[in-house]
Amino acid sequence: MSRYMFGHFGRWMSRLRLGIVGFAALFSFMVSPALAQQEPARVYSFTLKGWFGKDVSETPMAQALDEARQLEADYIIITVDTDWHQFGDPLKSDLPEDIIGQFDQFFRTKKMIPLFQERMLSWERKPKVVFWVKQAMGGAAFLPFMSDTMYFHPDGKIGGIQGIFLMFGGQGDRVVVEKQISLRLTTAQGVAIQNGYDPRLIEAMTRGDYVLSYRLVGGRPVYLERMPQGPDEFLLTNDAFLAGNKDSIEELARGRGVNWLTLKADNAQVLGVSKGTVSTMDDLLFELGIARNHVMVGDGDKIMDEWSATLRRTEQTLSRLLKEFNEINVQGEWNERRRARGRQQALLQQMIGLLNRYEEAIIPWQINGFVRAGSAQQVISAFRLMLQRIQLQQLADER
Amino acid sequence: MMRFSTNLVSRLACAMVVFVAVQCAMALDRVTLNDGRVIDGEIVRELNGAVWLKTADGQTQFFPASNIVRIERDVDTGPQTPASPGVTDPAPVAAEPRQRTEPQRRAVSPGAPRAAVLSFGDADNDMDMVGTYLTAQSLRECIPLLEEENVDIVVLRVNSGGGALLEIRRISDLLHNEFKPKFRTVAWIDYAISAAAMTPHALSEQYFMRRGAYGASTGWYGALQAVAGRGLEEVLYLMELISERGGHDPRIMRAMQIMEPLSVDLDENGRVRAMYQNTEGEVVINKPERVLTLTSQTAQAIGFATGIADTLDELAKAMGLTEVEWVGEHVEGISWPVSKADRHLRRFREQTARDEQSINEYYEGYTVAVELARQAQPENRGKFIGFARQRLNSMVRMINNNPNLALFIFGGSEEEFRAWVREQEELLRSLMR
Repeated sequence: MSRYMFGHFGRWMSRLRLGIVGFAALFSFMVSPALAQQEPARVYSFTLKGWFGKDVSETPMAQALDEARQLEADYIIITVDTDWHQFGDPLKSDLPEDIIGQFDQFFRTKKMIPLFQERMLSWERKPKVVFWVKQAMGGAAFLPFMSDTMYFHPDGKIGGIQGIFLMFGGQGDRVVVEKQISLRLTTAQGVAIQNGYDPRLIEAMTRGDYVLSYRLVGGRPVYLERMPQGPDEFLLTNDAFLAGNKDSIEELARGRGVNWLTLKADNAQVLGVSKGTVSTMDDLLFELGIARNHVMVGDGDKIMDEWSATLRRTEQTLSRLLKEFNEINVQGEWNERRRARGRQQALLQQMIGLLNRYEEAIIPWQINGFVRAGSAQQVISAFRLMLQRIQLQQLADER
Repeated sequence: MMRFSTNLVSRLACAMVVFVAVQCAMALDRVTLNDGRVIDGEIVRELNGAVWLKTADGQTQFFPASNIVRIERDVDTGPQTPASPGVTDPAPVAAEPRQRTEPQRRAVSPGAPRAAVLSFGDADNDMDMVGTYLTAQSLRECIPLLEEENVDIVVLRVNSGGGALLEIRRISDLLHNEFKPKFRTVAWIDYAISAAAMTPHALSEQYFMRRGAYGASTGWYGALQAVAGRGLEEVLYLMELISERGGHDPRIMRAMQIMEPLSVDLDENGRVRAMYQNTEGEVVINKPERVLTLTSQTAQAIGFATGIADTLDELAKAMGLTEVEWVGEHVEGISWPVSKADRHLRRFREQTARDEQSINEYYEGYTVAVELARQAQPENRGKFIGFARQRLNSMVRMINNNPNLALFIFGGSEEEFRAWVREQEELLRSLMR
């Protein structure tokens, strides 16, 4: 009897449950899409392209993030597709000169971190920041680690920061070189740690003498700081400095080098760094679960493009102003000399103004006419000295 | 009889007081946290391993289960030996106990404690060199400003890539002798490299941001030449003394200064059981032939990090503050309120940066103007001397703001600089005659 009652009651409970589930399904069918239609996810996106440190710089990034904040974005999708090298493909040959020092561009990334961390603390609506990696090599390699969510393009790559040993040009005492490497490596690792990535991956991308393997346990990587010891263990990097370990040109050409780690779509996903591989923005939105329920807001790419265009114009203007300055001859009557000096001063002031405004992204030696120039700050100091000299020359010039 | 009764009552009362006192002293609960702190009090509530502990100051603190290593009930609260992670076997220099009891002492004062964050360098704006932008003098000038704002807790937010050896001792002395007696002084590590790790090493409480880096304290000069010989031994010894001030095992700093390995054995709770200046420990923190820089993870593993915090709220929680008033005004772009003392440090750094950028102008302007004055007829000298005096005054203002620049820029002491200024003033006067 009790069993019957229990069964009877159970059937009723079962029917009730079915009813509740059915009602919930109906409710969700009727109400959720309506709610979703009313509040689609607001997606703000922009692409970091061009040269890291110039086109990719703090100011335009801050402007884009400010716009995303104003537009109350739920998602900020940042595509990383930066230029990396000017000569040859460093992955397929020895390191060319122009990328050896690129690890130190990490310090530019370090200046960008507060934009994604501290500054976002005060945002009323905290967005999900997603990096989509196409090419993040050299200085740009650290950018995707500023978020806990990154996806890869099928051709996506992160790496190209292996020049750290060569940066110091073989000079100095070993302990000081090790200090320099340690502080750089660990600071970069801190960014990875902050966003949930294993810091050993940064070391594998950086130090040629670092050996790293892994095996998968429950689909997750367990890292081993040694060579593989069984068929279930896989090598990521060997000790490049041991005799016979140097990647051959055949391996490099096929992207199979193991002296340094380059994260690609496949290994990044296996290692849990990448959440997935997507070919298009639509695929990415689908992976994020918002393909049919989102609205793109703002125009981050416009901000980036305008910054790059303004930078090019500024470089051209600086070149022209310097040419004009060099062409001024201080001669003739006292009034003519005074006018010429006045013109010189005006041109110097103009150049100082431009250099101050775009100091973060101006590389003077790349500007036509600024041969052997140092940093923007050094050029500003030199121009200010010239201003003072002109002022003193005018003071000493008798009518 | 009555008298006897009264005596008895009063004796009983005395006995009760003594008993209660003994109860207070002898039968409290003790919670050991995985950051090394040991907190005594009365457990007033427990839930799924988490506890609410009422401490001697009457405040109730919450500790999540994940932070608790051990709970002891009715423990003897005689002289407490605080757990000192990282110092678990005899160290070359006897380390003083960590000053973990300060939070309770501070919290006794009525009202919530008042805390101020001081920016200890600003690497993001290239104003972070110890000795230039981080000086004992500018920090000392903060003390009256902190007192003016009734600050109890000072948080040094470290963001510096290092600097000059000469300032390490001065800042360490200042923190140890002047800050610590007045304020609960803690370090909040973002980027503490080289001298910027060596200076706050005098503090026992080190809270790390998740991205924090701390170490790489090798002394060097010129073209990456290492400080060696007697000079090196002196710096190693200095850091042994400073490690002692902070209650840190000196082997940690040694591995940051020279290429010496560091490893630890951990107990079942993940706390350091033994530390070695070799690779014999179960967990190798610093490999041979490497210089140590701690991440937040390794700092936690060896018990060096007191806690991990990315935000002010997380920091307050890690510091065991149930409530705290962060002193200062909101400033756009800065993630903590800017107190008067912090504003002072910011102004100091900005002025130093302006002076550094202008020093060539000051000096060249002065020397060229003096030369032009010499060459000019006496009646025409005034304008050049005026110009020279203006530049000389700029240099004097620069050294008034930051006396260390006398050494870094002119290569002499402040006194030598002032003597040179007196000579120049005399020269200008003579040219005017």
